[in-house]
Amino acid sequence: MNIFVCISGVLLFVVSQLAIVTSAGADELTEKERQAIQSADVYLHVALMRDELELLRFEMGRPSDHQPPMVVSNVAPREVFFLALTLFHKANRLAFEQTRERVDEPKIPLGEILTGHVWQVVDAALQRIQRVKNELGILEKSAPGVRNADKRPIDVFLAIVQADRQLNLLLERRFAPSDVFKQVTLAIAYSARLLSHFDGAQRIAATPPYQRGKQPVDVYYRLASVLVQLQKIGQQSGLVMLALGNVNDAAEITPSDVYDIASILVAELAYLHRQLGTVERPLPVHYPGRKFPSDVYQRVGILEAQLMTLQAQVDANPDWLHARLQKEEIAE
Amino acid sequence: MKLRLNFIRAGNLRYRLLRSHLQIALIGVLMLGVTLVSIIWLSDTAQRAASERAPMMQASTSTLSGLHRSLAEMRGWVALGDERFREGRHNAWQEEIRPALERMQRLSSNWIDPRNKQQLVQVSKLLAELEELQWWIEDVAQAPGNEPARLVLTRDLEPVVEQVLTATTVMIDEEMANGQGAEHKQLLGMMADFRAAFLHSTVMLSDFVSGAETHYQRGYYADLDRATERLKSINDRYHLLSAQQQRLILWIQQRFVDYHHFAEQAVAQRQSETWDVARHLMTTQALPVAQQATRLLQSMSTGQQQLMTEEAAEVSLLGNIAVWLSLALISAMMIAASWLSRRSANQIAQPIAALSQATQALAEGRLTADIPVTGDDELSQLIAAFNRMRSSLQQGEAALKNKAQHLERSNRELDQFAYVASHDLKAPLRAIANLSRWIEEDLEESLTADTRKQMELLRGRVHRMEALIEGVLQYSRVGRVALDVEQVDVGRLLNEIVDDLALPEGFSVEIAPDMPRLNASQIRLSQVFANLIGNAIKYRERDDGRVEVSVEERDAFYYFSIADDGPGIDEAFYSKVFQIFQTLQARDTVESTGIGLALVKKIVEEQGGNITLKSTPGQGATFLFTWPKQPPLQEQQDHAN
Repeated sequence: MNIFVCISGVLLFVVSQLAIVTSAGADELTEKERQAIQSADVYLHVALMRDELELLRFEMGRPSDHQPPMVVSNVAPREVFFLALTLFHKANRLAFEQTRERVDEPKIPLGEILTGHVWQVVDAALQRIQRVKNELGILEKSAPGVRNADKRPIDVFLAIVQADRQLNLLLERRFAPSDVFKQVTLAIAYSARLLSHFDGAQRIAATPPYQRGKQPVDVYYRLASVLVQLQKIGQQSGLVMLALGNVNDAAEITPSDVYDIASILVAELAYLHRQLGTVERPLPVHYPGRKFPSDVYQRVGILEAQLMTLQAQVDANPDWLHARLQKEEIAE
Repeated sequence: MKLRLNFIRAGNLRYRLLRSHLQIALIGVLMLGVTLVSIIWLSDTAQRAASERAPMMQASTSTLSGLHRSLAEMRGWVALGDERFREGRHNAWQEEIRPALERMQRLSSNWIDPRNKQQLVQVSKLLAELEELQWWIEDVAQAPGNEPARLVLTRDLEPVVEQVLTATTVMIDEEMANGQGAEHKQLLGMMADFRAAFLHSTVMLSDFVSGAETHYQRGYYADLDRATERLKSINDRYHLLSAQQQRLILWIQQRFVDYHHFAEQAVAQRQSETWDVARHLMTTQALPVAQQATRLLQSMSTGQQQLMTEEAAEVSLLGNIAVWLSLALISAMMIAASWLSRRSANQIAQPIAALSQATQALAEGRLTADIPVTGDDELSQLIAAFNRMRSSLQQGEAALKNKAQHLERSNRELDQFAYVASHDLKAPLRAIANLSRWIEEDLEESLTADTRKQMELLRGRVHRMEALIEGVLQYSRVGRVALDVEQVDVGRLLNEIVDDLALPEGFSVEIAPDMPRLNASQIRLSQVFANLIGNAIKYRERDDGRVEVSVEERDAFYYFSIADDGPGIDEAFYSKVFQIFQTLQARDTVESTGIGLALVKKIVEEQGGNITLKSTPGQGATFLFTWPKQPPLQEQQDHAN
């Protein structure tokens, strides 16, 4: 029996590797190929990208990132997927800055997000970096790493955070509060969709008062607190969500981290939203113009209030996801 | 408890009476119940119309007003970006829409029709959707991202334009400074033309982005083509350019590609439906939702209005129904109560009526059979008792009849006896009196004075005996022998009596002038007056005397008074004087049979009257007797017979 399992595992791995190697692009992956991809494969891909970024950094003469890794737990492919999307956004922006070429971002899957989806997004980002590399005439090639089957989504997550941070340092127009503002607004859009399933609940809370002089770190902490709030909602709803570790030194937080945590928040809310099984998407978010951390801080206040409302609703009806699915089944 | 049970026992008269009353009361209660239900229904409908429909209409109208206000404020904000419009929109939600919606939700708890509740849920959802959309529109309307084409223009394209123009200017300046000859002059012209065409294309593009007018777009493309063509021409004269100009032209060419890229992006964005995100959201999402909500609210408002109209009509109809129902119920109740009462009355009164008729018949002697006993209640018991009474009464009556017949026989015998007594006894007495007189006449000379006196005494006793016999005869005939009833003139009768009595000298009888005329037996009335006046004459103690006869009319009687001024009678003898054969003085002193006043009393009482005596010894006596205005019935019948 064990031998059979081992042989099956090896065959699956070989097939997946062949599929990855032979695939011309992320969009061309079949469902079977996508399901065969594991965190170790994605980690290998991110590691390759980090090597490529190091080549670019050297060529462009930009500083190297030395921030300590983020502390997280309960990481699932969906969180890694949305973090990878931020990686893609930054890679796409870098590519635009250097090549004036811009490509569409990978689509967010409607169903369950698998490791294969993460691999596709990382691959799309890698292609943008390699396009820049070609544009800049860098001929060195990064050596492929060694696959470590023990890698888990959390390892991929942390590797992407590091790549994100480095990539941010390469950008001419770095990810600024306005980008975080957009992410938070997107999170508000998801929360509004979630609240729309509770009759009588106010979907978008009133804007809290503006507080001057806020720093990115303030936004980070407020977002972290919102993430904890969301984690509680997830727990009450029977879902496991990403837990963020404490950051003791504010200096450890980079502007890129603020964007990343906002993206994670969006990922978790999108995940929660997907549990409703609805196909409706939140409204697209548009460039808000120049924003200061105080603007973002204020906007996170709206999100915070929304999640408080959501928590109250979930408190009153912890079975809400299950009940809704049952209701839909009956309706069918 | 036992008594109480007996009281309500079925068949009991009380029970039947109670049941009858309770039945009527129950009908009344039922009718009142029906009336009460109709009144409650009426009240409920009227109350619903007043407390739900009107506030509901008001709330839906208020929601509609708030909704339109929020849309107007939204448009104002989108068009002008004035903060007041944003505040106005928030106020529309805070002050109008949400409170009105809450009112509707409160009112909905009383709704019966689930469709109304469903409509309210839909409206609530649509309004929540609209509020969310408005938030997004408000958020994006004044943000640079609202017009992606303009964003590309300002954020991406303008720096490129600036760079290209700067580089071109530097190139032109150098060409003007160093360029010699016709070729360079031509090159300078190309450079200037490129700059002009490029700049003009930018202006055209900007104008196109602002208004999306096609001639600007055409102008942009024409200028872009011209600029491209001039750039190519300059590049064709690359050898004429200085080293710096050569680097600049290469840089400009690269930037020109960027320019082209961004410009195309801007054109595409401007031509897309979402060139103005806020307006697009408003047109494609917010307005349809608002229209849907408006339709629903109007439908609800119309529905409520219709319901109110219907309920008003219903209230009116119910009012009429209640009135007619009440009238009908009152009539029905009266009929039912009347029927029930009649039935109960018949059930209860019929035996009583039968009993009454039977009693009447019994009294008239026509009842010969028992009244049927149908139940076991008190009436039945009474009828049974009546039947027993009738039976014993008729037995008694039969016995009485026997006795009456016996008495009649006795009376006839008595009459016979009286006749015999009056005739057969009186005749020997008269013979004795005559014989004694004849003896006295025959022996006139031989008789002694004593014998003659004894003979006188003998005749006196014979006369007394004769008077006694006559008195007893009269006494016995009173009430037994029917006498003619005739109209009697009492005054004339008294005068005749006075004449017959031959009043002694000095004695007078005063008869009051107002003596009546009445129907009576003249003989009896005459006997009364004659005895009373005669006694006054007989028992006077002096030669003179006076008797006054007067009368007074009261009710059904005449009150006659015969007052004399004689010796009077002691009160101790008042009753004795009316007893037969009783005299207050020895018969030898005053010749008297002792029958007169007894006869008077018997006659007066037989007529239904009475006689009394008032006297003070030495001051005379007054006899008062009453005499009916009409003779007694029996006497009349006897007279008729």
